Amino acid sequence: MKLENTKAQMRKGILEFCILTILKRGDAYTSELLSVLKDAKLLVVEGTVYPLLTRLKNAGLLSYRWEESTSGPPRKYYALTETGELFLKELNTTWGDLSFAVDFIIMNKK
Amino acid sequence: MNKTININLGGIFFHIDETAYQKLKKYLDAIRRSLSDDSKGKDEILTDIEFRIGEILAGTVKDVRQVVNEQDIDSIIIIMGKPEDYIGDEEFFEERPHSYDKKNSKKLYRDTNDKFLGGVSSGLAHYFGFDVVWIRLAWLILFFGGGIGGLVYIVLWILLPEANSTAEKLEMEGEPVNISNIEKKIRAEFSNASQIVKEGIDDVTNHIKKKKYQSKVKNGSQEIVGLLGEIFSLFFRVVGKFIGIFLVFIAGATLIVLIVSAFSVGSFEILGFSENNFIHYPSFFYNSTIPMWLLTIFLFVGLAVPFILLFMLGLKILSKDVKLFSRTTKLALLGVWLIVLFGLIFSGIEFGTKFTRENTVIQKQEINWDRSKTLILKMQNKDEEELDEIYGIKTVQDDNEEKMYSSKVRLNIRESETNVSYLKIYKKANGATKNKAMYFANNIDYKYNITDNNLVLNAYFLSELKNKFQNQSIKIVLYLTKNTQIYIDKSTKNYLRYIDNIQDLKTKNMIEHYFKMTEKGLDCLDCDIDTKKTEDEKKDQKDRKIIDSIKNKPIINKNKHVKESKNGLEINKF
Repeated sequence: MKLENTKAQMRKGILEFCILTILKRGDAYTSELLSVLKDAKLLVVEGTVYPLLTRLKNAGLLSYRWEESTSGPPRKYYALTETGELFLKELNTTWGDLSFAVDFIIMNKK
Repeated sequence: MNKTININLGGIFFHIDETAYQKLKKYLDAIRRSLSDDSKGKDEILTDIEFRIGEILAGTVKDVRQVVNEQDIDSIIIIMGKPEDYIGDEEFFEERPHSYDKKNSKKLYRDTNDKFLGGVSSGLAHYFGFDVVWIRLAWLILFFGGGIGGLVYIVLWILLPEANSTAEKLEMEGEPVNISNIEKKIRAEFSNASQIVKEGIDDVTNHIKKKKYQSKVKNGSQEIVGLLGEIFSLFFRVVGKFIGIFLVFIAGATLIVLIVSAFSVGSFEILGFSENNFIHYPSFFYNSTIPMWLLTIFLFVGLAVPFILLFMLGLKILSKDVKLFSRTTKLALLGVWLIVLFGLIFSGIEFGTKFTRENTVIQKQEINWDRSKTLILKMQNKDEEELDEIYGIKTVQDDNEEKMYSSKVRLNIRESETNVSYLKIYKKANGATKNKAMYFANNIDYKYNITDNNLVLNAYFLSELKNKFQNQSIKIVLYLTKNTQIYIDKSTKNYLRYIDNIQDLKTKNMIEHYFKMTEKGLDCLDCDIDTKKTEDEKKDQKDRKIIDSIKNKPIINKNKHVKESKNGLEINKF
């Protein structure tokens, strides 16, 4: 059992959940997403996000479009699909349950 | 001084110095390697990463003329993370594989919920939409009708992944993978599980009622069982490793031998270099619609693939983390192997059916010679030196053409029922149909000649090389009119079959003698009967003479009484 693995695994599920949540507030391009995640200190390195985004997109939870930008190359804007919203709803419930469970267990130690 | 290179990252133009370029390239290559096998997703991820790197660089490099250097790349790697950081996500890929986008397509999995052995059959049943009973029945037939079934089953068992997650189960059954279906499926599983739990609880309560009294004993015995279990599992782990090493060793050695032989002997065969064949392939190799070189490759692949799998299996036993091939590769391997198998089976069957029918062509040819002279019967054969051998059959040059040679010739002599002497030649061959067999029989090239009173028969026959393996043979019967005299030459020795003759001589004793044809068969004119008979026969004859003489004079001496009884002769002494 490696500590790093457990940490990464914990973070990954939550990362997915957080990306979907950010996108629910409104469409965002990759750098925006990254800066929010980094500000929240959820992200150590950016690299992990790219495979995750591609996977979410391939799963039909996200869609994207290219948009021209005034400063530099075109940007990839991600948006939540209908399936993605349903998925997020489920995750929200799960997260509620989990966070309650974790709090309960941590607080309840005797 | 450093050379600079122009690159384009996500649509932005950069000057980059050579060392920095090398570093960036290495970094991107490393990321590519650590991403999954799915090439489409991989390209997309890499494009995204390039875009991002371009974006970051554009932030640091303000002036277009400024050159990107190594430090810039280093700081990018710190922001983006090491290639290893990209690997972490692979586990997720594994758990929920591919094709979310190919929605209604089914995938082959093993259904371990409905398994008899490994769940291969039920997986196939889901895939093809049959009832699982038919698939199992097919396995049974395949297994008992040749044993291939068992092997294929094991290979599938190894190769097919088990359907674990709900998404995989849905993929297996071919339902579109969407939320509502996943939900439905999970509900079904829950109700199924609750059923099982209910039954289980009933079971357990029954057990508890029974075992209440024995609970103390159980605790002690459970401990022992637990300990034994640990010892056993340790033992099996050690044995397992040994089996792993053994498998790797055997399979590896076999593969090396196969590869070496494929490059040495095999390539000779494939390129057609070999005049003398090194190996005797199964005979259907030589006579198939599939070309020989392809069959040789088939044979190689057919043998190699199972050993590759064994090798992998061995490695897997030794270390669970070993991942030599992706699933696509494995399935491709299986596909190739099955094609090869069917190829070999096809040519085997094709070869088999070429033999099923037999036909004989009979030719009758009168022979004439000066009847006052004795007919001299000889046979002639080719010299060993003239013969060649290709593909395990003998060949000979005839009229500048290579022909197949066979000495499957038998000879017999009988009495002619008419007043002419003649030869009857029975040409026999096998083929897929009666007509084909007749064609092959007609194709047999057999010759004889008669000069003066010498009848010289060929001790062999020829046929076109493409007609090899038609199991051709020839029987010749020489019909002689009554009173014809004949001399059987030594050269006929190996080809003669039993010939009716008055002296009842064995065939080997008939050569180098003169005979006359009579109604009862050949009559030897110059045989010394006694020398021809075996010792036993001679003794028999002597005994009979003595007995005869005794019979004629029953009383030889007054002291002896000889009388006949049912046991033979009795001699009584007084």
